[in-house]
Amino acid sequence: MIGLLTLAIVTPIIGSLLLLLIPNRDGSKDGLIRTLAFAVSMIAFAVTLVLWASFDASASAPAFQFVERSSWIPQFGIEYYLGIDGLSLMLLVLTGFLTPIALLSSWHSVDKKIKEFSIFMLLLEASMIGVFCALDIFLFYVFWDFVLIPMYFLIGIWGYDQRIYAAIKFILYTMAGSVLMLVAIIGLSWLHQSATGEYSFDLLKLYELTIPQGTQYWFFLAFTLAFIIKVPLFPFHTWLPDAHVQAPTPGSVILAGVMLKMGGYGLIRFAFPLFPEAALYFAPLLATLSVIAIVYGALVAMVQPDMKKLVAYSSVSHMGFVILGIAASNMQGIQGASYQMLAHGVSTGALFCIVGMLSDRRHTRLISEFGGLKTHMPRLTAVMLIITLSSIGLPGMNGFIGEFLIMLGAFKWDPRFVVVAALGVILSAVYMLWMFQRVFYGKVTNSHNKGLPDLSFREWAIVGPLAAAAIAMGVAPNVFLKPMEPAVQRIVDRVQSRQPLETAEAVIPYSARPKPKEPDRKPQAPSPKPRPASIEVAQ
Amino acid sequence: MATALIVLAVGSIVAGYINIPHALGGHTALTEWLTPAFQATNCGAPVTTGELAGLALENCEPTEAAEAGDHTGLELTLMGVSSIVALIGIGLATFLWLRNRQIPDRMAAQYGGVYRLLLNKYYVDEVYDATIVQPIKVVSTEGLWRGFDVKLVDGAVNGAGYLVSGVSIVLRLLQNGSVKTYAMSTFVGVVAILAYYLWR
Amino acid sequence: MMSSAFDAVIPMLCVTLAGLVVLLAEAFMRKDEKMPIAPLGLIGLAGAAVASVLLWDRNTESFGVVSGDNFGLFVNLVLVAVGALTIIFSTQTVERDGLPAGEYYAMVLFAIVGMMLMGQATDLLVIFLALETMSIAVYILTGIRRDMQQSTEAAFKYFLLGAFASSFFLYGIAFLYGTTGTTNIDEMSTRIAAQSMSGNPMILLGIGLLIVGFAFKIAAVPFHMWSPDAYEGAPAVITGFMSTGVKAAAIAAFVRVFLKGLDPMIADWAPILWWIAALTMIVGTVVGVAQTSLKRMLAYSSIAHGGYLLAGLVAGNEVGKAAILFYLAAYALTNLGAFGVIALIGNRERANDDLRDYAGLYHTHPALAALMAFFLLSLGGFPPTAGFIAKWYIFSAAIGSGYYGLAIIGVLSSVVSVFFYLRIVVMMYMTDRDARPVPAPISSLAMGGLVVAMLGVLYLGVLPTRLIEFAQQSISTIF
Repeated sequence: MIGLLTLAIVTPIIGSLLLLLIPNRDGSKDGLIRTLAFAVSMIAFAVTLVLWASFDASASAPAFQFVERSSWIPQFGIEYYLGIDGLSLMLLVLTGFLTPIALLSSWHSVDKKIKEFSIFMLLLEASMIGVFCALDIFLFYVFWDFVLIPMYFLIGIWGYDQRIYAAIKFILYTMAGSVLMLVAIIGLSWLHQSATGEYSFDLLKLYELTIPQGTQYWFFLAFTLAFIIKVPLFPFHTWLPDAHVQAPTPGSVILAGVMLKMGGYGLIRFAFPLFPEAALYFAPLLATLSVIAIVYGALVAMVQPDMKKLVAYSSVSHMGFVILGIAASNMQGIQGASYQMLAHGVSTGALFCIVGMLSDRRHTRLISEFGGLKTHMPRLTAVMLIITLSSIGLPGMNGFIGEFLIMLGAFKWDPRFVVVAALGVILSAVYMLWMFQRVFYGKVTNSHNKGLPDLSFREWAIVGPLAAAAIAMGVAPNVFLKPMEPAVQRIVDRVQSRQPLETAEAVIPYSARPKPKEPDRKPQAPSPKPRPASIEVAQ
Repeated sequence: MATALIVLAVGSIVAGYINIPHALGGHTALTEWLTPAFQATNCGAPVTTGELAGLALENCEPTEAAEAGDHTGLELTLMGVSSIVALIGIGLATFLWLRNRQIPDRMAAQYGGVYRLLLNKYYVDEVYDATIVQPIKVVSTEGLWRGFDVKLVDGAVNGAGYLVSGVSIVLRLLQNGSVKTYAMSTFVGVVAILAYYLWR
Repeated sequence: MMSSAFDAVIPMLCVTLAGLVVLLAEAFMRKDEKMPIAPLGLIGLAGAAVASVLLWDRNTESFGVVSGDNFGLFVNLVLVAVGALTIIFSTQTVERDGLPAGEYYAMVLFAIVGMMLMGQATDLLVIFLALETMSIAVYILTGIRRDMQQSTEAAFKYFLLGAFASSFFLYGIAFLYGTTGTTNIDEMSTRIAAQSMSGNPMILLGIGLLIVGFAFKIAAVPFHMWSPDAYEGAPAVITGFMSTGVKAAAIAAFVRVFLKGLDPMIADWAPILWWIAALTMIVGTVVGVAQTSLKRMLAYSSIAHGGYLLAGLVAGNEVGKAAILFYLAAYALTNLGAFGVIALIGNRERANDDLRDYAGLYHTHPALAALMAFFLLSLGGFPPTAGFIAKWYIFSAAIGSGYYGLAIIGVLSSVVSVFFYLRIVVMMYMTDRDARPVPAPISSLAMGGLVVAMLGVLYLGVLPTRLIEFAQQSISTIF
C-alpha cells in the first residue's frame, strides 16, 4: 500500500514517464500530450485535496501526519522520510492547485516541443511536492536542488529573448546559496554524530541537538542565505526580475506561485527551529532587509514600463512581508507569513496568467502599448480588478489577512518595522492601481487594442478558480488557517523557548586531525536584546 | 441625476425626522438605538482566542452618564446657527449666480489670481504631484531602479561572473603550449613544497 | 577455491593475456579479414571482473608486493568498467579514424594492467613500475593518430613531462628508502611510527617529491599543465580513458602510500595537500570557464575533479577513504559517458569538439543530447545523479575532519563548474540548428554503452547504498 505522500510525488513522475513514451517528433500528438499532462496534474491535485480532507487539524494530533519512513543510506542515517504538518499541507495544496492552472495557461503560449515541456513541468511538480514533504534534511536537499533543473530548462528553452541569460543567472545564483547550505547540513550531521555517536539527517532528531553558539550562527547564516536567495530577499533579489520576465507564462506562474514559497518554508521549517538562538539574534537584520524589500520592491515596481517586470518586483515586495512575519517569530507573525505565502501564490499566479494573456494577444508587455481595454474586454478587466484588489490587500481578499497578521505580529515584536512596512501597503496600492488604470481604463489609444478577444473558455478555467480562491481565502480565512495553527504553534514554541546559549568551551570537538588553517569561527558576543515582554503567545 | 438627488433628499428627511432631538420635542430615536453598540466595542472581556488574542481591551461598565444633564440650550443654539449659515449661503448663491450673473464675472476678472487659486482647488493636487509624486517617481526610476538595482546590486551579481571569466581569460594565457613553461610550473611547485618544509 | 601464490594477480593476468592475444590476433590476421578484436579485450576484462569478485573479502597477497585486498579489488572493478566502456566506444572511432586496431586495443589493455597493478601494489618500487607501464601505454595511445600533428605533439609533451615527473617520484622513493630502510608500504608505516621522524629533512623531502610525482599524474595544480594539451590532442575516447583510468589508479596508489604508509606523518603532508587540493579545485573550474573547445573544457573539469578527490585525501578519515572510492566509480561512469558522446560526434577530418559544433544537437539527435546533458549534470553535482552523491560524500569527509574551508571552496567551485557544463547544455538545447557537419550515424553498440553508463549514474545517484557499503568494506581491510 503506497503512502499518500509518495503517491503525490510519484504521480507526476509516472506521468512524465508516460509522456516520454509518446512519440511526437512531428507535433501531431500535441493535443493528446497536453490533455494527458493536465489530467496527471489534476490527479496530483486530487491527491493533495485528499490529504487535506483527511488531515487531522486538532491540537492533539501528532506533529507530522502521513509519515512514511524507510532507510535509504543507513551508513549515514539518511532516510526516505516524508511527513506533513499543517504548514506543508497547505503548501502542497497550493502546488497541486497551481500546476494544472499553469499547464492550462501553456496551451496557448507554448507551441513547440510540447512533450518535453510537459515532462519538465511534471518533474518540477514532483520535486516541489517532495520539498514540502521531506523530513530528512538530505532528502529535502535532493528535492531542493533538483527543482532547479526543470526550471532552468523551462526558462532557457521556452522563454523570451533574453532567456539564456536569465536561466543561467537563476540557476547559478540559487545554486550558490544552496551549496553553502549543503556544507551546513553536512556539518549538522557530523555534530549529531559527535553528540550521539550516530549520523542522522532526521529533522526531528536534529531539532534536539544543542548546538554551540558560534557554530550555530554560521550554520544559520548558511541555511538562511540559501533560503533568502530563493524568496528572494533584498539584496539577493536581482535574479527574480530577469527569471520571471523571461520565463514563459506557465513557468512564471509556478516560479512565483510555488518556488518562491520554498524559501519561506525553508526558513520556517529549518533555519529558525534548528538554530533558535541564532535566529533570534539575526531576526532584526532579517526584518530590516525585509522592510527594505517591501518598500524598495514597491517603488521599483511602480516605475516599470513592462507589466511582467512590475509583477516580478511586486513579488519582491510581497515576499518581504513574509520574511518580516517570520522574523517576528511569534504566533501571528508566522501565521501571517504562512498565509501570505498562500495568498501571494494565488494572486501573483493569477497576475502572471493575466499578463500572459495580454502578451499572447499583443506580443508585447509594455504598459504604454495598452490602454482602455475595458471597452473590449470587460470580463478580463473584471477579473483583473479582483486580482488587483487581492494583491493590494484589500480587506475581504486574501492578501489582507496575511499582511494584517504579519503586521500584528511584527508590531508586538518591534513596532518600528511595521511603520515602514505599512508604507509598503500603500505603495502596493499605488503601483497596482496605477498599472490597472493605465492598461484597462482610459481611452483606447492604440488601434491594435480594438479587436482583442475577451476571455475564452480555457482562460476562464484558468483565472476563475484563482479569483474564486482569492475571494474565498479572504472571506473564510479560518478554513486555511486552522490546519496550520498547531504546526505554527510548535515552531513558535521551539524558537521562543530555547534554553540559554552554550559557551564556547562546550564546543563538541571534532576528530583530532590537525587543521592547517584555523576555521574563522569566533563566537559572537551573546547579546540578544531583552525581548519586550509584550510577546504573548496565545495558549 | 435628478432622481438620485430626489432619493437622497427623501432619505435625509426621513433620517432627520427619526432623530429629532429632545429639544424640539423628538426622541433622538436613532442615536439611542445605536448607543449600546458603541459601548460594546469599547468595553468588554479581553479576547483570548483567534487572531486578536492578547490584545487588551478596556473593561468598563456601560455608562448611563451620557444621558445626564440638560443640553437643550446648546442644541438649540447649534441648530439655529447652522440653519442660518446655510440659509445665508443659499441666498448669496441665488443672488450672485441666478440673478446677477455679471457680479461674479466682474469679481473673477478683478481678483484673477484669487479666482484661479480657488478654481484650481488651491493647486493642492499640483503641489502633491510636484513635491511627492514626481520626486518619488524620479527617485524610483533613476535612483532605485536604474541606478541601484541594475547598476549596483545586479552589477555585483554580474560582476562576480565577470570576475571569474576575467580571471579565467588571464589564466588561460598561462597555458601557452610550451613544454618548457609546463616543466617550469612543475619546478615551481617542487620549490614551493620544499620551501614549505624549510620554513617549518 | 584453491589458493595459490598467484591469487592476487589473477585479474591482471586475465587482462594481460587478453592484451597479448589481441596483439597476436592482429599479427596473424590477413589483410582484409575483419576479426572482432574488441570483444577479445572485453572477454579479458570480464575475466578480470569475475576474478576480482571471487577474490572479494579474501585478502590474498602475492609475491609480497601485490595485495588482493578489497581496496585493490574495488579499484580493479572500476577499472574494468572504465576499460569496457572505452573499448565499446572505441569500436566506432577505430574504424572511422583508421586506427591500428590491434595495437590500439592492446595498449588499452596493457594500460589497464598497469593501472590495476598501481591499485594493488604494496611496494613503492612496484608502484613505480606500474606507473611506468601505465604511462607508456597511455603515451602511445595519446599519439596513436599518427596522421594528426596535434596528437603527436600532445603525446610528446605528455611523454617529456611525464618522464620529468617520474624522476621526481623515483627520487622521492629513494629518500624514503634511505630513511626507513624499506620500500614496503606497511613496513614503512610501522617503522615511521616506531621512531618519530617528524623533523627529519630527508623523509620530508621524500614525501614532498613523492607528492610531486603523484600530483602530476592526477593533474593537480601546479603540476597540471600537461593535461589540457594532452587531453585535447588525444582521440576523445582515449581522453576519457585517461581522465578516468589514470586518475583512478594514481589516486588509489596515492591513498595507499599516504594514508597507509605515511599515515603517521599526516601532520606534515596534509597542509601541502590542502593547498594543492584548494588550488586545483579553483584553477580547474575558473580556467575552464574561458574554454571554447569541449575537450579542453572537460580537461579542466577533470583537473577540478582531481581536486575534489584530493580533498577526500586531505580529510584522511574513514569517510574520506570510502568517499574517494565512491567518487572514482561515479566519476568514471560519468566522465566516460561524456567523452563517449564527444567521441561519437566527431569524424575523421575534424574532432568536432568545438562548442559551436553542439549547437542545436537536441533537434537532430535528441537522445544523444539528453545523455550528454545528463552526464554534464552529474559532473556538476546535481541530484539525483551519482555526481551529487559523490560530491556530498567527499565534502562530508572533509567537514568531518574539520576542513570547512576546503569544503566551501569545493562547493563554490562546483557552482562555477556548473556554468561551463550548462554552457554546453545551452548550446545543445537552447540554440537553433545551424549548418554544421552532421555526425556519422551512431552504432547501436556505442549507444548501448552510453545508456548503460547513464543507468549506472542514475542508479548510483538514487540508490547508492550498495556501493557505499562496498566502499566501506574496502577500506576496513587495509586501514
